[in-house]
Amino acid sequence: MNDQGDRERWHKREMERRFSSRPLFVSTAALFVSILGLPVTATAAERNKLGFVVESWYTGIYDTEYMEECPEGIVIGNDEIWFNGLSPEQKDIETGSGTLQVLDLPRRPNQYLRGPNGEDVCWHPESVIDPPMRTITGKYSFGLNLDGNTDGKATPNTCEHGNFQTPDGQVSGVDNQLYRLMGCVYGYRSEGYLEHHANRERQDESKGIILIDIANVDDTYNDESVEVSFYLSATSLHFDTSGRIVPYGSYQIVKDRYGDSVSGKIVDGVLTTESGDVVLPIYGNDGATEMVLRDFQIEMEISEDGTRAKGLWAGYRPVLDFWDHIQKVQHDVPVGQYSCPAMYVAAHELADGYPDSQTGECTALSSAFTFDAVAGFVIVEDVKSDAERLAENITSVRK
Amino acid sequence: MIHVFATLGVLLVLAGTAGAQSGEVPDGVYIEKSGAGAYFLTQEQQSLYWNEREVDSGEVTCLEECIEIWHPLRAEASDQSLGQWVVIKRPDGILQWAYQGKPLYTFINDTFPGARLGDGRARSWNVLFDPIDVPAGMTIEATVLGFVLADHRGRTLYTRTPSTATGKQKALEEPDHWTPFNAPWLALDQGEWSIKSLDGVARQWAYEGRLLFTYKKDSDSHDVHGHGLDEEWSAVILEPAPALPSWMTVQQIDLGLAYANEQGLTIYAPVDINAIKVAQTCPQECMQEFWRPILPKAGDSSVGNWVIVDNDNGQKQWSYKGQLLYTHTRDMKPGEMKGNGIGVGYRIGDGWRIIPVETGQRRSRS
Repeated sequence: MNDQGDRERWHKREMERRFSSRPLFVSTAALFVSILGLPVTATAAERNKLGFVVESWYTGIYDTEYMEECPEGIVIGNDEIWFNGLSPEQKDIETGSGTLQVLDLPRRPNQYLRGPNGEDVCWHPESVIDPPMRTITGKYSFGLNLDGNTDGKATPNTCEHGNFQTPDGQVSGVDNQLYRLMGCVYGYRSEGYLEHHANRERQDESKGIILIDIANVDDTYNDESVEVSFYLSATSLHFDTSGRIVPYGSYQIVKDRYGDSVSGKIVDGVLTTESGDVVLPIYGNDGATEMVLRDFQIEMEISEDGTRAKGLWAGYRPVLDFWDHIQKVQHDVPVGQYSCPAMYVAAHELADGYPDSQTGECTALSSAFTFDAVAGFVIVEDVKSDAERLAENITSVRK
Repeated sequence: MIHVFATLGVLLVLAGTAGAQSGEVPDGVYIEKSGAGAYFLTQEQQSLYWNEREVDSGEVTCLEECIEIWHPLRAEASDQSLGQWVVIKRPDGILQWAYQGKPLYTFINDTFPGARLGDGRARSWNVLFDPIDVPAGMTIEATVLGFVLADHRGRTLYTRTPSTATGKQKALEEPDHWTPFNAPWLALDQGEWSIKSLDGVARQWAYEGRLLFTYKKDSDSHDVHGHGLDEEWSAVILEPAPALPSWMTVQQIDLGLAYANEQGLTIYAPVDINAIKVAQTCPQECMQEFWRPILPKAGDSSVGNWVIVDNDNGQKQWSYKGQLLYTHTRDMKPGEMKGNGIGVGYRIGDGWRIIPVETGQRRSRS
């Protein structure tokens, strides 16, 4: 079914199956909602919607086998900078005569406490000056052209910056300064550990699970006007016996949290949206924070059978928001191999969006995140969740 | 001789010479009975604890610095072992009481009568607890609602307050959700537990005359998803969880259920304030910018682990298990948790943290 004609025909059949034969769609939805023990409302079943649960997502890092994009090499880690500043006698003490590794005590905490007054440099990144962070100099990146130009010159809403091309060469003017910042950090690259581990934690603990709700869908293959909303799931992931997320599970949203929406369209099975401000939950590596994205857009290709989707979301991430997350996952530093002070400086230098009205300095980093998703029923109706009911029960029983 | 006196609303039974649920106890040890079992206190009403690692290894390992925090329950040279209470000689020469093979301690931070602030510390310290006898095939589980009756797999047992239909009839109408908790053929009535046979075939357990069911959405022990459903179903709560201050609420945040103030704003406590001070991960200006102490109002009083204490500024401030409580200035509405992880430092889980609603741990005899 690689042929475009076959694909269109399949989607036409699928559309007919889902929407023309409404009783089937309704009954399927009702079945899953019923399994959850939730009342099925007419609006839940009749509204033409698509839903997806995000299975995994990654910072959009385009890396190559021989690291051509990082000609200076991998970013220097905090431990290495600290260690190089020690005298031979101190090195002997701090490493237990060479027996203590980077994650061992007391080497692990001491590598942070190198401010002039012994302060932690991740919480005082301006207290020391570290060697400049090695950043991406390559030509290609995942992402979108967020500012609309291809020369990278400053606009009223952006600062001058380098642009990328997509790896397939199809799109120029790609803005992704977060990639430029993080692309040479070992822990964020594909062979690194941090983001794989964060995805594993999200799945294992069913925390920080992002739901994508696409409303006003008349045609799953071509629809010029849909509404796309993003939520946090209140329901644990549904896995099959092999550990894969089961398509078409039902997921209740956490009410009154997240829920930002953008307008979009579906063209040949690919969802794209206009830009808008969106906040998404982040969970992983013991960090639970928020991802604020200004001028957020999403580009998502729905699989031919409708059970899966993949794509990327992009937008300008405020440096303060990014830095809040980096600080709260401080324990990632020795595993990911980077330096807080160097990253703090580079993040501000590379910021390319949302200039400060007073100083003119940009305050946000263009960014892109790749993701995979599985189809699901996103329940946004005002149904009391298990957690809400439990919260009420706790206060009533314990007072 | 039995002395009975009420403290903090709890019935304490001085059982120095009387048999109690847990049998005889040494002089100076008291039994605090609850719906789910019995706790043990010293004469100063300090809770007794045991350490899982010691029991697992069969060795006393809380020595030197450890016993400055965890005080061994000392025995005199003249004391004789009493049933399951045995006098042991520790490696440091101290004579110590052990119960059911568990060397016993008190916790230095239990500063008010009946406090159990040490329970769960270091994932190895447990308050000494002796659950009530339940029929074979049933257990007692700790949940967010308190100690509940559960089946052998730890799944909560429920009763239904009849309205238009009996629990049995209603359950049969909703077979997907409620499963009768059947009794084995050889089981007999026991105390509050009885066996009913509605259709002449199946024998179903009842508690205080009400039929028992499990709820299919309870996938794990500790789950109590069925409680309050249709305003008719109730978990069999043998002992409610420790009370909460009257102003406190429970909110759903990104990490699950957590405690919040009356406006629903998330409550935080620093895990290790000394580590924060040493690494200066949240110095004075950070404190002033981000954190607002939770101060008691007139008429507030300590409840369970939620205690009003004096802070460094001489103010009264709420604390939880010895940690001062704050709200975060960037949290604007219920559910937000922007303060979680501030000042974390090098250690995972350090810094300021939300206070999740505890699901509790199983209390068992073993």
